[in-house]
Amino acid sequence: MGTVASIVTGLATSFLLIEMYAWLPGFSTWLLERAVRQLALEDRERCREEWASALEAYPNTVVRLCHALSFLSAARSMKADSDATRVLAAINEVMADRANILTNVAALRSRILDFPDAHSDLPITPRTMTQIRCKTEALSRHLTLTRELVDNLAFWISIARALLQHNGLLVCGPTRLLATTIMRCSYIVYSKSVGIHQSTMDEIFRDYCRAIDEAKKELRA
Amino acid sequence: MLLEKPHKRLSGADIARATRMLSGTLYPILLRLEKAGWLESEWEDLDPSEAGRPRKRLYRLTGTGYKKTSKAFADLAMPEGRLSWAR
Repeated sequence: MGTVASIVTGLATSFLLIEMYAWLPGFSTWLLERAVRQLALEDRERCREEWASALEAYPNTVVRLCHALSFLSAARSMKADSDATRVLAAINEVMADRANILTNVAALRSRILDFPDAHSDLPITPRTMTQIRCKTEALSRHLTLTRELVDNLAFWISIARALLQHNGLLVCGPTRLLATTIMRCSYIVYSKSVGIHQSTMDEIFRDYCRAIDEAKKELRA
Repeated sequence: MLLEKPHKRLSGADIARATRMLSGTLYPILLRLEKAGWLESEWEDLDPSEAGRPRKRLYRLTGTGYKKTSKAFADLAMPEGRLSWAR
């Protein structure tokens, strides 16, 4: 009975291995296509051909599968870069009219929200949000900021901080640039709106830099 | 490796093999370097239908890339007279 069971198991394993080997190229191609579909339209054609040729360079083994899988993360990163570049251009356009920046706050906010990661994927913890909100509430009492401006400041700083912690520390590039630009925007808007004292804004920035340093240390550890 | 032979054109797969990086890590870096003007790339001169395989994209350092990479390596080099792990 034991011999029969081991023969059957052996046959089943061999059968499965042959099937897996036969399906590997198709599965790798499927993964590649899935990754390509995540990219911005203008990058798709180039990446499809280039990545397919990269896969061809590897033997039909698990190595090829690993490379195919890694294209999924590549696509996410490239899409974020491409979105960040687009949003940066839009933000810079709004910020170009610095004289009327206060009437353009809503436009600026909507441009920032054009960055898909700004909606839900970022790790903005409730604690971080509460800390920022408390700080801006305190500022608001002191400087009589409007409710909308307080909300915007809290929102922008949390996005920028989360972007930097999530992406910007590991790799530099458009995403990091977007985060620093958002910080710069909030700085300019609030300096202009209520004549915030430089030292108060500096305090906010110091807090923000400290949080970034802590995150860097955690990453190194 | 691009710095050693600045005129040589290498495909992403060649670079991935030499650096032992996963393709998914390498290609976003190559694209960023290209957009930053450090690298330039072109398709290999080949007809995919005749060759029976997709064309490779070949990369090489630009003049700017060569200067900046050399500088980056120089900055990384250990100053003389200091202790080093390398022998």
